[in-house]
Amino acid sequence: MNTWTGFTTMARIEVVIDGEHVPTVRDLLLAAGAKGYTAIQGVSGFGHSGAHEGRLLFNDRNSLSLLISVVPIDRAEAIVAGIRQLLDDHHGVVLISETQVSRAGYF
Amino acid sequence: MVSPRDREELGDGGVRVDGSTALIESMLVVAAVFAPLLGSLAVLVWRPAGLGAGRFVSVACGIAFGAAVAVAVVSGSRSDGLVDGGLGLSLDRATALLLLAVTSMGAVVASFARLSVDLDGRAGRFFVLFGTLVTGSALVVTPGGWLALSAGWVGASWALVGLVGHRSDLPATRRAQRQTYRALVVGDASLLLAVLLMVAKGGADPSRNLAAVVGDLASTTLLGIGVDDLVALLLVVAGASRSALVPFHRWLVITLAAPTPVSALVHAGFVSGAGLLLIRFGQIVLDSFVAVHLAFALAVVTVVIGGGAGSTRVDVKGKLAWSTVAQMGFMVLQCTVGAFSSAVFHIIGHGMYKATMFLGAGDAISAGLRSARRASPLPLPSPRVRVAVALGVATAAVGLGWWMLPPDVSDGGVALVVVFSWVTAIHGVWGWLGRGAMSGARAIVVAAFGGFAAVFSYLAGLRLVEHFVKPSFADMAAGSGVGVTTLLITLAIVAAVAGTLTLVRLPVVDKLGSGIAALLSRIAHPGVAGAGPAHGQDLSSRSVGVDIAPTFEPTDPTSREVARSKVRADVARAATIIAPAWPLTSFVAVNPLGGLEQLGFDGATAVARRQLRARTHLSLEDFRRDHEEGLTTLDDLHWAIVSQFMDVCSMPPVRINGRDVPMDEIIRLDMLHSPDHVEALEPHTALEHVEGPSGPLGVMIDTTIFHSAAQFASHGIGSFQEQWRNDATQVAGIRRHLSGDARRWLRGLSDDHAEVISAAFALTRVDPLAHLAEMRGHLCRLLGWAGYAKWRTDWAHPDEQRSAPSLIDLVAARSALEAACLLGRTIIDRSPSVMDSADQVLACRVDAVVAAGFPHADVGARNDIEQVLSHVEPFARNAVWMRAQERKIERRLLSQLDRLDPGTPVRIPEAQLVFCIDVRSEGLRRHLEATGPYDTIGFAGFFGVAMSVRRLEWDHSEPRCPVLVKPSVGAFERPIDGPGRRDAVDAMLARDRLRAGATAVHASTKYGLGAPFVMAEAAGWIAGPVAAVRTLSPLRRSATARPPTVMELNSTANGGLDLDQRVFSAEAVLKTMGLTSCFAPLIVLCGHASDNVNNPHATALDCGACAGASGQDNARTVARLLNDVEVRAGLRERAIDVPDTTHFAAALHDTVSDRVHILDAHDIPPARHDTLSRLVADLDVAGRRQSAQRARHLPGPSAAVRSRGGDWAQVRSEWGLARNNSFIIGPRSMTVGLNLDGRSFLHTYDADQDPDGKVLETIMTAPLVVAHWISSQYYFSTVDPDTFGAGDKLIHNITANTGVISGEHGDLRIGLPLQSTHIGHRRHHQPVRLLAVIQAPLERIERVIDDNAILTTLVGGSWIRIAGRSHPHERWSVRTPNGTWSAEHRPIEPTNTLETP
Repeated sequence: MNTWTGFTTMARIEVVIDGEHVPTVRDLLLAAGAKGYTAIQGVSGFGHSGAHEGRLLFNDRNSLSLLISVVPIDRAEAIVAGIRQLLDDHHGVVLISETQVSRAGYF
Repeated sequence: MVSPRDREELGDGGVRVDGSTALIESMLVVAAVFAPLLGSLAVLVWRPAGLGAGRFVSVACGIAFGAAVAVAVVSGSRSDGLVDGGLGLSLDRATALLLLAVTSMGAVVASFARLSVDLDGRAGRFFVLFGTLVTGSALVVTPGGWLALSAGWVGASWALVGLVGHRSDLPATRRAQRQTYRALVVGDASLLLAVLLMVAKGGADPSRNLAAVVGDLASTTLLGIGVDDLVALLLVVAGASRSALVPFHRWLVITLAAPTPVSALVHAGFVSGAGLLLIRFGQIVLDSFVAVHLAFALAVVTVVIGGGAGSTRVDVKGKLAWSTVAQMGFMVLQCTVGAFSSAVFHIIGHGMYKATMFLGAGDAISAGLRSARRASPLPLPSPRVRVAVALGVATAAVGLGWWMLPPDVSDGGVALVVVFSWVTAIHGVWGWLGRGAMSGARAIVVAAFGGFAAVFSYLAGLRLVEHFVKPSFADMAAGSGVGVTTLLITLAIVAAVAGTLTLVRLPVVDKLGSGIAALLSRIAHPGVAGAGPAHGQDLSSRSVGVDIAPTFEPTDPTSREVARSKVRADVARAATIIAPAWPLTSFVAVNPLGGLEQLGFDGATAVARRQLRARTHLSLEDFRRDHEEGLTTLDDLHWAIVSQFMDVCSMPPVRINGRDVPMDEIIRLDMLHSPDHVEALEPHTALEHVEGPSGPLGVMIDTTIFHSAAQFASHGIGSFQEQWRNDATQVAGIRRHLSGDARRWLRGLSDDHAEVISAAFALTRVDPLAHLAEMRGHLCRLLGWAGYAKWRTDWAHPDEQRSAPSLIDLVAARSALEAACLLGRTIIDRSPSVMDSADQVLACRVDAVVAAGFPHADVGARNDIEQVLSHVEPFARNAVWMRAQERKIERRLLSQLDRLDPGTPVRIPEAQLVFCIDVRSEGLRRHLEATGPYDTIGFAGFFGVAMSVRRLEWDHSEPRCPVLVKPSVGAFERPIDGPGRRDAVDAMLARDRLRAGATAVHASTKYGLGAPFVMAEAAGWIAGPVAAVRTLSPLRRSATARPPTVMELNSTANGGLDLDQRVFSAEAVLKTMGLTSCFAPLIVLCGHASDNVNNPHATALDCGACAGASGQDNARTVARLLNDVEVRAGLRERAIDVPDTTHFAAALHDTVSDRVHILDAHDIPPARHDTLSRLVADLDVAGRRQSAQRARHLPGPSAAVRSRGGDWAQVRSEWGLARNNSFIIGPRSMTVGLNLDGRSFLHTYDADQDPDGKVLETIMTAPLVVAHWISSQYYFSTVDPDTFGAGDKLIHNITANTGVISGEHGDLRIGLPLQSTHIGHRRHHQPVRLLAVIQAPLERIERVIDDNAILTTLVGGSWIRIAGRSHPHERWSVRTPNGTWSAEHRPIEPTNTLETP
C-alpha cells in the first residue's frame, strides 16, 4: 500500500448489517474507542443471503445499513472482535482494510 | 370533651330535647356511623353480581354522609354543639365535623371504587371490608363508650388488613398484608389495654363516654404508677401506631400494595387515629408530662424523617405515603401544644387533599406531558429579587394577617400557624417567580397579591373552623401540654440542622449528609431494605467443595480491550430476548418476543417458557372453556390435530376393547381431558444454581437493582454503577448478606462494565461457553428495566434527555451482586436441580385418556395409548388448540368476505373520509357509510408523512410517525393572519403560562422544606369538594380555547421539503391510500386519539402510527399539503388530477367517545360548508351508533359509554384494540357493509393501481408489521399478564415519570394492564396470531415476502398468517408457512354479516 506524505495509516472498518442492529454496532464502535462513524441507511445488493432491497418507504429498521468507521490500527482488533462476536447471531458483513487519513487527530 | 349525658350528670344544665327530636338525632347518628356497615352486610346477604356490591356500599356511604351533614347542622345550631346519638354515641361540634369528613370521603371513595374495582370474584369481599372500614373509622371519631371505641378501632384495623390483601394472589401483597397486621396489632393491643384500664377503674357501662371516665383516673394507681399516666402513654402508643409515627411508620408505606381507593381512604381518615385519640382524650395526655413529651418527641422525629424520607422516593404513591407520615407528625405536634382546633382543621383538610391525590395518582404521566408542553417561561427575576420578594411577601402577609389568628388557640398553636404559614408562603412565591409565568413587575405584583390572598384565606378558614369547634374544647385547661418555648427551640434546632446540611459545603458535613441520606433512603423504602433471609444463611448446603475467591487476572491492554469488546457484544446478543419498553409518555405496542422472531413463533415461545419462565399460550383448561363457549368446533380441533401431527395420525389405528381407534381420536381425547403440562424451572444464573430460581437472595438482588434503576432514571446523577453499589451496600436489604470481603471486592471493581462482568463470572466459575446464557439469565430477571434500557439504547432519539441504565449496566450490577453474595461460600453445584417430570406427566395423560374414552382398557391398550401420546409433545397441545381457534376465525372471516360482491359502481361520493387502519375505526366507518353518501378509506394514521411537529406553545418538537421510521421533516403550527390574531395568540400563551405558574406553586409548596403542612391542610378544603364533583358527576374538561391556526411543513429555508419533495410526498400519500381518481368535493383526513384522564397508560390508546400520540397534527399538516396549489400542479404532471373543487380537511376521532371533531374549520371554503354541515350531523349519528355497539361489551351503564374518558374512576375507558385478529388489505368494496366487530385493521389497497407492487410492499413492511406488534402485545399480555402484561391497574404506582410498578417496589411493568385485556379473571381479548387477508395477485404477495427479510421472518415463522386471492371473483387461499397456497376452507354459517343501520 502506498503511503502518502502527511497522511496517517489507519484501519477502515465497514459493517453491513440489518438496520435494527445499527445501534448495537454503533455502541460497540464507540465503547471500543472509535471517535465517529458514518451510517448509510437502506443499502441494497446481492450476496450470501440473497438479494436485498434498498430503502423502504416507511420502515428504516428492516433494510440493510452500512456503517463506516476509521480508527487507529491498534483499536481495530478489539472493535472487530466484538462485531464478529455479534455476527455469530445475525446476518451481516464486516470488512477491514487499511486507509490513510489526513487529520489523524479526528480519529 | 364532654357528652350530653355526662353534662347532665355534671349538672350544668345540658340542652333538653323532646323525645321525638332525640329519636331523630339518635337515628341520624346511628345512620352516619353504621350505614356503611349495613351496606357491607347487605352485600354479604344478597351477594349482588357485577357492579352491585359497589353500588350497595357507595349508596350506604352516601346515606351516612347525608346523616352526618344533618348531625353537623344540628350540632352547629346549638350553643354547646352537643348531639346525643344513643347507643353510647354522642357528638360535639368537633367530632361532628370529623364524622362529616370521614363519611364524605367514604362516600366519594366508595363511589370511585365502584367503577374501578374490577368485576372479579374479589369485588364483593372488597366492598364488605370497605364498608366495615368506614364504619370503624366513624366509630373512632364518634365519642362513645368503651365498646364502641374498641370495636371501631379494632374492626377498622382488621378491615384494612383484609383490604391490603385484595390481590392476595401476589406474593408481595401477602407480605404487605402480614407486615400491616404486625404493625397495627401493636396499636390495637395498646388501645385495648388503655380501654381495659379505663373500664377497670371507671366502670364497665358500655354507654358511658370514655372521655368522662378519664376524670376518675387521676387519683388511682397501678403498681405505684398513676393510672392516668399509664392510660395516656398507652393512648400515645396506640395513636402512634395507627398514625404511622416513627417507629411505626413502615405499615403506611407497605400498604401501597393495596388498591388505590383503599390508600385514598386510609390516608383520608384511618391514618389520623392519633389525632382523633388526642382530640377525644386530650386532657389526660396533656396532663401527663411523660406521655405528652413522648408524643411531642415522636411527632418531631416523624416530621423530620417523613419529610426527608419522602424526598428519596421517586414513585408517586411512595412520595404521597411519606408525605402523610410527616403530616401525621405535624398533626400530633398540634395536639401536643394544645392546638386542637388546628388539629381538626388539619385532619379534615389533609385527609381530603391526600385522598384526592391518591385517587388522581394515575394522572402523573399525563401531567408530566402537559407540563413539558407548556409555553416556554418568560425571563425570570434574578435570584436576589426572588429571595427578597418571597421573604417580603411572606413576612408582610403573615404579619398583616396576625389579627386573623384564632383568638383561643394556645401559644404553641399560634406559633405553629405563624411559622409554617410563613414558610409555605415563601415557597409558594418562590415557585411562582421561578416559572416565568409572567414578566418582571407583573409577576411580582401577582406574587404579592397571590401571597396575601392565600395567607389570608388560610387564616380565615382556620379561624372559621376554630370558631365552630370552640365549644368542644371549652373545658381544656389552658397552659397544659408542651410549652411554646420548647416548641420554638425544637423548631429552631431542626431548621439549623437542615440549613447546615443543605448550605454548608464542608467535607465533614458532606459525609454526614451522605450518611443521613443513605439512612433516610433505607427508612423510606421498607420493601427494598427488608431483611430477606436470615443473616448468614448457609447457601452451601447444596454445594460442593471449592471456595469462591477472586480470580480475575489482568492481561495486556490489547487483550483486555478485545475481551471487553467481546463481553459487550455478548450482552447485545443476550439481550435479543428483551423487547424494548417505551416510557408511558409515548407507549408503543411491541412484540414482547420481537428479538426472537428469527426463531419462529414456536421456537421463540419455547425459549420464553424456558428463559423467562413465562406462559406463552392459554392453558388447556382455558382452551376447553373457550371450546364450550363456541370459540372452536370439533371440526376445527380435528383439522388442527391432523395438521400438526400428520405423521402420528397417518399411523395405523390402535385396537382397544375390540375397536380400531384412530390416532387422532386418542390425541383429541388427550386434548380434551388431560392435565396441562407444567414447565420445570431451570436455573440460569450462578446464584439460581445454589438457591433455586425463586431463592430469596436472588429476589433481593433483583429488588436492589429495580430500586437503583428507578432512582437513576429519575435523577440521573453520577453513574448507574455508583448508584447500585451505594444502594447495595447502604440501602437495600441485600447489604446484610454481604460479608466484609464481598464489600471490599465490590469496592475494588473496575469502572468498566465489561470488566465487572468478567470479574463476576470468573469469581463464580461461569464456563466461558455459558457466558451468553448467564447474561441472558440476568437480563430475564430484570425484564422491565432491561426493556427500558433497550428502548433507550436502540430506539430513543439521540437527543433524548431521559436517563436509564444500559443493558450492560444491568448485567454488570446483577452478576456482581450475585458473585458478592457467593463470595467466601463454596462453589456452586451446577447440576440440574429439577427432576424431569415428563414421565409422570405422560402417565397422568394416559390416565385421563383412558378414563375419558376407554374405561375398560387393559394394560396392553394403556401401553398403546402411552406410545401414541409419547409422540405428542405436551406443549404442542396448547399450540394445536390455538391453531383450532385461529382456524375458526379464518373460516368465519373468509366466508364473510367470500359472500360479498366486491364490485362497487364507480361514483363520486359527497365526501371521502380517510381513517387510520386502527380496528377502532372499523365500526365508525361502517356506521357512517350506512348513514350517508360517503366513502371511507383506511390508511396509516400518520397519513404517510413522517414528521416531527411543534405546536404554537411548544419549545420543542415531537415525533408523529411510526417508530419504524425517523421523522424526515418538521411541521409547525402558526396563527393565521388577520386583525387581532396576534393578541389572541398572546392571550392563549399567557393562559398557558398562568397554568404552568399555578403548577409550579403547587409543586414548590408540596415538596418545599416545611411547606407541605399548611399547603395540604388548606388545599384539601378545595380539593375535597372537587374530588366529590369529579367522582359523582364526571364531566369532560373543556378544551382550551385556541386561536385559529394552521399546521404546515417547514419551509425550505428551515430545512423543510422543496416543491419537488412535497409533490413526491403528496403522490406517495395518495397512491398508498389508493386515492388517485374520483376525488370527492370534500376529503377528510381523520386522525385519532383517546381523550381519557387519570390513566397512566393513556398513550397506549392513542395512535400507534403517530408514536403513541394524537394523529390530529398529521391530519392537519397533510391536508394542508394536499390543498397546496403548487403541489396539485405538480401532481397533475404526475397524472393525479385533484380537482380545484376538492378540499382536504382534517378531523380528529376521539375513540373513547366516538365523536369526530372537524379541525381548522376556518380553512374550509364556503362552497363546502353545506357538505360539511351534513357530514358533521351524519358523523354524530354514526358515532352514537358506534358507541351503542361498544357499550354492549363494556361493563357499566351503557348511557355513560361516551363519557367514560372523563371519568377519573374508570380503569377501562374503552377496550382499545382488544379482540383484534386480522388485517385486511384490499379495496373498501371488499368489506363495505360488513360487520367486522372492530377486530380488523383495514388498509385500502387497489392492486390494479400498483402493478409493480411497491404500494403493497410499503403496506406489508410497515403498517402490517406495526399491526403484528400490536397483535402480539395483546396476545402475550393476555396469556401471561404477570410477565408480559402490566398487571392490575388498581395497584399501579407511577415511578420516575417513566412507567408503573405494582405496589411499593418492583420491576417496571411492561405491556398492557390487566384491565385492557380482561374483565376480572375473564379474558376479553382472544389471543391469536394476526391473520393478514390480502386481495392482490398471489405471486405479487410472494415476491414482496421473498424480497423483504422481515416478512420472510414473520410469515415463515408463523407470526403472521396470510390469506389471499388474486381477483375479486376467486375464493380465498391460505398460505402455509412453507410458501404454498391452499384454497381449502369450509364456509361457516353466516352471523352478523351485513350491518343494518
